[in-house]
Amino acid sequence: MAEDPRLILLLALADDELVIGHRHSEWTGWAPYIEEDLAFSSIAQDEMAHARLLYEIASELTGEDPDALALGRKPPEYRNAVLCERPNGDWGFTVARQYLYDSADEGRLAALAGSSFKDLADAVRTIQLEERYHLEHGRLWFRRLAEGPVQAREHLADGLSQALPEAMALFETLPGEEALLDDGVITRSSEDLLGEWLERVGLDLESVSLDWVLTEHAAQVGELVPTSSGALEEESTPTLAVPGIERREGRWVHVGEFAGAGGRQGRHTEDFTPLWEEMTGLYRQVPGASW
Amino acid sequence: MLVWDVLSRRRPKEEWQTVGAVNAPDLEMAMLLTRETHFRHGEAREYALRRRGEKEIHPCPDATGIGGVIDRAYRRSEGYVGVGAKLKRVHREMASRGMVIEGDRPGPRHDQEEAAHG
Amino acid sequence: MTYEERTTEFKARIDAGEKIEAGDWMPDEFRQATLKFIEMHANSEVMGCLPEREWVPRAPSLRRKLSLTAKVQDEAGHAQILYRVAEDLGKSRTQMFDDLVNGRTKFHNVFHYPAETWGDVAVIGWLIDGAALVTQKALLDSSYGPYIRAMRRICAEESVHLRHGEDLTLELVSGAPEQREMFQDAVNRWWRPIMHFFGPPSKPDKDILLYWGIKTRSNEDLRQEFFTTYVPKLWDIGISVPDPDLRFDQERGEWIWGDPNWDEFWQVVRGNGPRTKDRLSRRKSIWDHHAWVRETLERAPSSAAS
Repeated sequence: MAEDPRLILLLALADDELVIGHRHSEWTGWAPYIEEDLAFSSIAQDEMAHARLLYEIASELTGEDPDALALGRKPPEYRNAVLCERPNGDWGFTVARQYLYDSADEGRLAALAGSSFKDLADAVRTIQLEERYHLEHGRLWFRRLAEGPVQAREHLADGLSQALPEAMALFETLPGEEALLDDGVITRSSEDLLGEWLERVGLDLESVSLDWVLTEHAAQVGELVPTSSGALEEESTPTLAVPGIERREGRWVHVGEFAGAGGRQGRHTEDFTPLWEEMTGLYRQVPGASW
Repeated sequence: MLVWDVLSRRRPKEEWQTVGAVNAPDLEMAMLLTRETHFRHGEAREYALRRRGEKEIHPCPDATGIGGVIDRAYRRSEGYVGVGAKLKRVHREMASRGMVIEGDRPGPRHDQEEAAHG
Repeated sequence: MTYEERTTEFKARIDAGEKIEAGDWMPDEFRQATLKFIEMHANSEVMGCLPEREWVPRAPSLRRKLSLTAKVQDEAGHAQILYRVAEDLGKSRTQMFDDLVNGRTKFHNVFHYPAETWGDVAVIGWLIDGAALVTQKALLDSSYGPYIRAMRRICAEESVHLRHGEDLTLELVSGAPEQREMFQDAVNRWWRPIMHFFGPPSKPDKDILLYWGIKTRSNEDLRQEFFTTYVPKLWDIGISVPDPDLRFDQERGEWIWGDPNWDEFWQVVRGNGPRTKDRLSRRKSIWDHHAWVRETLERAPSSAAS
């Protein structure tokens, strides 16, 4: 039996929120600036709480409880965009990812607020109230780092060029998307949302003269990697052209491929397996236990 | 970095009370961070900042959603209201299984604690 | 008035129960003792995030993932509050952090130990936070006003943590046999560090913190309160305490307890605990790597403020 496309949509949204919330929560206790430790931890909690809300709706469709959906599936059953699973790395990458993710989320949620799937539309309107803060936070840090000193701009630019190609894949077309559009469960296609987002991000980047990251990016995410244990690793990062972005008639547009596609199909990067093992290990250890 | 004293009040027109301070480079960043450093449990309806050593009070222009919109009971005591009763239940269960450990204990203090949390 | 006369007058204010404020005149000895004490408290809050945060990514349900993140966030919040109080006594937070990550200042013994299982999360959340709350409630009567106000907020949050920890504990002890075993095993490993947490018995007349009213109750007094509150609860849920000598002496009206091994305590607080170097070096690597973030914030335009 083909999977209910509504379930695919819910899991894609919920898995994004869970996995990015999980990464954000890894800063709790040692963010580089203690006031920020608290702000970022709240964003992590918001994202994980949103995931829970979405899993609750999904559990109505599958009959499984929300924890089983969040922590009891096999890696290929997770549909998060791979951007979300990348380790936190340097604060520059963290800021870049948070800004890109939350600006993408803003457009996506605005379109979902008009969904014909009532439970989803209701949840989205609640979620939007909290996402405002995330966007404010992401944009403020984006501007602070972009304003310099030079070193801060470099960290931000590195982070953006690492995150940007995979951020596009937040808008990778969902399996069953046509049926969702036909039924009004989603009101706009992923490609349509991507176009709108990319144009806006392009303007933001131009406004701080960092739009060159739209045409160049680093081959590997994870230059500096505070893992959940806090260890840092360093690697060199060759520069490649960003696939799928062109400037036409004064606007940044998407053409052709995604760099980080696959997440919506359950294909993940090498960073996902250790994350999954850590996140689900204890849940799987004592089946059926209450904690 | 600048120091910003954090002020709050529960109702409009009440006197501002100083509830702490944050370190932040400017007012905008201080405003953003204070929301979570001082009011994440929904401690106030309104807050404001005053740069240390200055008189001007900067009220937060929009404090909606303070303390979270979606269920945040786990951050507050109401998230744990049944815990005292649960302790008694587990105690009874252990007693019925003969697993309670006997020993001399000072009675009154323990009972007070129970009553306070029960 | 001479320094000595002012000091005598200051001491009389404290003995009369008056509270000292940041802007008041204070003897250097008081300032230093208060700063050192609050700085160590702040260090302990920030280092106290680390054992528990290891379990945030591994929490076994969505609810626990949220509550544990929030709990560790509160500990970071306590550090934020306490470092601010300490800063106003004359040492910058950057300097305090730098001293911490380079091992020049101390933090509480319990945060030098590993958190091996989810059972440890329950023990930390209930018994260690319980021990901390016993000591922190006693500070509500401290002589330093800004510290008292910080402690009011901290104690309120800690009492929520305590419920959270108790809830985790009760799920484990009433759960599957391996969950119960997880908790008992954690109690067995943590008991001695918890005894050490209150510090060695001190002579009240030699304790500078008691002299200046920064602390108001002795270490042993606080440890006794902990026994009275928690030992009967542990017994009630069938969890044993790994101290064969522990008993309540009805005649003396106090708990008798066994070999504390203070050597271990001194080793640990001097920086030779099982996780001291590991945790400090990780915190230092993140701190050093992100110096650029601090420089950005220090140099950010502050036009909005002028």
